[in-house]
Amino acid sequence: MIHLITGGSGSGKSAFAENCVMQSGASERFYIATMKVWGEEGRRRVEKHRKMRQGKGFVTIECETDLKSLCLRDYRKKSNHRSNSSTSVLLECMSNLTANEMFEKGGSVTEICERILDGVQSLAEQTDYLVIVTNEIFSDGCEYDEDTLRYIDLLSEINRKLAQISDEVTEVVFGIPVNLKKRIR
Amino acid sequence: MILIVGGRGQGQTEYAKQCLNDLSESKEDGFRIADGNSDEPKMAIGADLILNLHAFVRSVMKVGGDPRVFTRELLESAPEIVTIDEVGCGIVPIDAFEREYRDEAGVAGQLFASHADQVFRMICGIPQRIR
Repeated sequence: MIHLITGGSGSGKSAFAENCVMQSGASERFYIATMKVWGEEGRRRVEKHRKMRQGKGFVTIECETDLKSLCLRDYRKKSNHRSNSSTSVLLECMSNLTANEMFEKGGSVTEICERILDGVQSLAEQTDYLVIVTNEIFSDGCEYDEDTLRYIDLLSEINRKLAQISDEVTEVVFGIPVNLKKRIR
Repeated sequence: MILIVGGRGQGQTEYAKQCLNDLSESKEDGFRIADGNSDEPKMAIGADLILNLHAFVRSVMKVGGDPRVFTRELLESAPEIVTIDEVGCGIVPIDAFEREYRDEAGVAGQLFASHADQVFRMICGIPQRIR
C-alpha cells in the first residue's frame, strides 16, 4: 500500500512518516534520500535526519534522479533477509526528487510527471508499504519566475496524481496528523 | 453557493467542474463559466461557475479598480460555484501592490465564504469540507 504524507516545512511530517514505518511492523526498512547535498547547510540537514533515524534499522539509499531504475534487491542485507519478511520504504522527499528531475534531466511537465509516477509504481511493486513524503508549497501567492512557477505546477500535479493512487493520504500540521484519505481494505 | 479553496494547483477547478456536473441535472440551459486566469473581470458577472476568483481580484486591481466593489457585484450576481486560491501563507512581499493583492484576495475569499452554503478546502486534489 501507498501512504502519501504532506505538510509544510517543519510540520513534523518526517517524524510522523518514520513512525508510520516503525508501526507498520515491517522487518525490512529502507530510506530513500532524494536531496542533493549542497554545502554545509545541506550536510547538517542530512546529519539531523540521520540522527532521527538512528537505531531504527533503516537501510539508507541515495537516489537523486531516476527512481525507476532503483532496485531494492541491490541494497538488501543478505543476512537479514528472509523470503517471508515484509518490506517498507520511506521516500523523502518528493519535492527534492521533482526538482532534481526537472532541473537536471528536464523534459515537459507531462514527461517528468510520468517518469516520477513510473518510478513510484516500480517502487510500490517492490515493497509492502511505501510511505512518500511531499511538501506543501502552494499557498504563498508569490508571482515567481517562469521556471519556479513551472516547478510549483509540476509538484502540484504530482501530488494530485500520487494522492489518487495512494491508499492513505495524511496532512501533518504541527505534528498532528490530519487524515485526508483512507481506503477501506 | 459552493466555495472551493486551496493552494495553487490543488485541484479546485477539477472539483468545481465535478460539482457543476452534479448540478447540471437540475438546470436545463447551459452553464456559463468565467476563469480569472483568462477572462476579463466583467465576464465574471452573471456566470454560474467562477474559477480563480483571486485572479479576477488581481486583474481589477491591475487596472486601478476597487476589488471590493467588484466582488460585491459578483456576489450579488449569484454564482453557483466559486473557486479561489489561498495566497496568504508566504512571507509578506516587499512590493506594495503584491501586499495589497494578497490582502484583497483574502478579503474576497472571506466575503464569499461568509455567504457560502458549503466550503471545501482542497489538498492534493482531495476535497475536505470545512463548512
